[in-house]
Amino acid sequence: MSYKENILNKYFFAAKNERVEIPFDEINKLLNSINAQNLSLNHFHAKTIINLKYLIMTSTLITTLVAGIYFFNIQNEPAISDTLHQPDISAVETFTINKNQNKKTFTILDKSISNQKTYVKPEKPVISSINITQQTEPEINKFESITQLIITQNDTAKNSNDTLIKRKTYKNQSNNSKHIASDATLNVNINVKNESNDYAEKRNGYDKIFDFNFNNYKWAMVLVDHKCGFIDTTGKEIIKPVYKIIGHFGEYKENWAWVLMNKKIGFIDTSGREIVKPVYDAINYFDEYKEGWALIKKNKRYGFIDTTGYEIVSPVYKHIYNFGEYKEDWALIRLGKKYGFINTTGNEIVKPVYQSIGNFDEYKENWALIVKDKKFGFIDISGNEIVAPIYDQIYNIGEFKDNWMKVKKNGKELFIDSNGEEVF
Amino acid sequence: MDSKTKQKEFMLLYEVIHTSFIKYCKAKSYGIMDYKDLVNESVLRAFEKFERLQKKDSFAAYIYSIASNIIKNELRRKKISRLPDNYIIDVKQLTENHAIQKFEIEILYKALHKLPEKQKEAIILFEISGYSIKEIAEIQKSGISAIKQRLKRGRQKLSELLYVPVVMKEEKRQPLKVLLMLFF
Repeated sequence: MSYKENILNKYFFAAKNERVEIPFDEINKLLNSINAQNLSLNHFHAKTIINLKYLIMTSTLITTLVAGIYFFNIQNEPAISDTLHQPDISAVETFTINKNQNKKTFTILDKSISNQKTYVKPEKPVISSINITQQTEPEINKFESITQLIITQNDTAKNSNDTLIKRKTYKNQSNNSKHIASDATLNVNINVKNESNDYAEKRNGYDKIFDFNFNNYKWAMVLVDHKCGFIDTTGKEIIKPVYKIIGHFGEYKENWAWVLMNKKIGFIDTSGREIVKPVYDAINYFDEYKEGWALIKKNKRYGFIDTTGYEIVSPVYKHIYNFGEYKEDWALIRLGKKYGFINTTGNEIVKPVYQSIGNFDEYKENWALIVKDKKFGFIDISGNEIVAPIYDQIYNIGEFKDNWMKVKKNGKELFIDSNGEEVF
Repeated sequence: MDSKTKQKEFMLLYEVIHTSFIKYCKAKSYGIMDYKDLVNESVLRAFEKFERLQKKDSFAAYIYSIASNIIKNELRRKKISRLPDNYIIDVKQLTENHAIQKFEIEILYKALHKLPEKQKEAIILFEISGYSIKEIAEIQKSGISAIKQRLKRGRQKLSELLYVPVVMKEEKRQPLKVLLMLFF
């Protein structure tokens, strides 16, 4: 049975064995009640309709009344304030910074967040460092200036590296009062970090917490903004709620569960560590191609990861064929339209430069035919080009003389010997 | 027919299919209406016109077609042509315990709704309600080969639809044979 079939059956199994929530007796009771009231079904419907009629009439009346009161209030209200027309700002952070000696970077002295409410969202970026790349105003005397950056992030600036920053520079005066020395908008480079360690501490409850009965672990699934994670019985976040879906632990590998984030798949383990970052489009089961390896797919290219999560073969190949098909411990690979081999250590034993590769031992023991630029040659079992692909045609070995192979090159016929050397 | 006798007879026939019928209703009504409403309404309608059922053997076909019609009417009423494209379940919809198990079932239900009506029904009856191909042929009033075809195609499409984080193996390649044919 194929893998797909297995998965499908798993789903069917779950649906088939789901507990039936309507007991048989309930149906009997339903019919009993119909019989007891001696109602025909039509009568039953008619009665419902009459009730509905009253319901609709009452609700219409109430709706009209509510709407009337609402519009009356609206008309007597003052004009809508201008704040409604302001852009959708999700967070405003104010940094007080000090100019460093090289005059290009700033040290953050103090940080305050003016809009806490909307700040507490996992997908919103948190600024980790600021690096001003372009200055549009004359330099300010370093002894005098304390600069305040007001960073305004709107929803569209999620991953932007170029966020506009309003910069206000206050000049310190002797009597400690400040006045604005300059006010400018700068183009700056901000490194944004999608997750913040501080976030967990700031979080105030979850959207939903499920029971502590997940698998064998005493964990509860928690939801924040439709993302799921896990907490343990002490309330500690074992797995941060950043994943769209978390699979079963142990489905792919013991203590591992697949996770889905931004439509990409990865793995986490029971300690909550991301063993495999969710960057792959698909991951196959382990041991299907080779023991301890799992096929991965990223941008329509294939590779392998091992059981430590290490990318043992980078996903660069268009196809990877089964191990052992051509030679034990070798797997045919295709890169573009060219073929080669990788071995079980993940190295390219034969670089993918050949249009085609034949089976070993077909022409001669331990040799495999190769085709490159429509010319024929041979590789041996160590992956070396024993006969360079320069021949137009190759005939069977021993056809004319033992251990000699007739070949054709540039319209001329000649022999190569068993070491791949041209004889004459 | 006396109403008590009628109910007794009805319940005798219904008892056999109770579990399968509820599973069918659950899968079929997903995203359209509450399955308990569907069960109740189907049973009531089936009971009301029970006298008209000539062949009591075809009770299953009778009640399933009633449920199917109720769904069709509901769809027409609500003008739902099909469910939203996203077949990965929204975590928001999880409201009870055993989230993961429900997950799988709901993913399946969502995917099922992408199949053509007859295919979907055949798959539900065969895989979830546990009917045999012959029985499904009676319920759907089709030939056995047609049911087999529906099941096969339905399964194929479901495999494609169901989100499975897996890479399928490529077909084996046989380049050498072609090469040899060219040479000799």
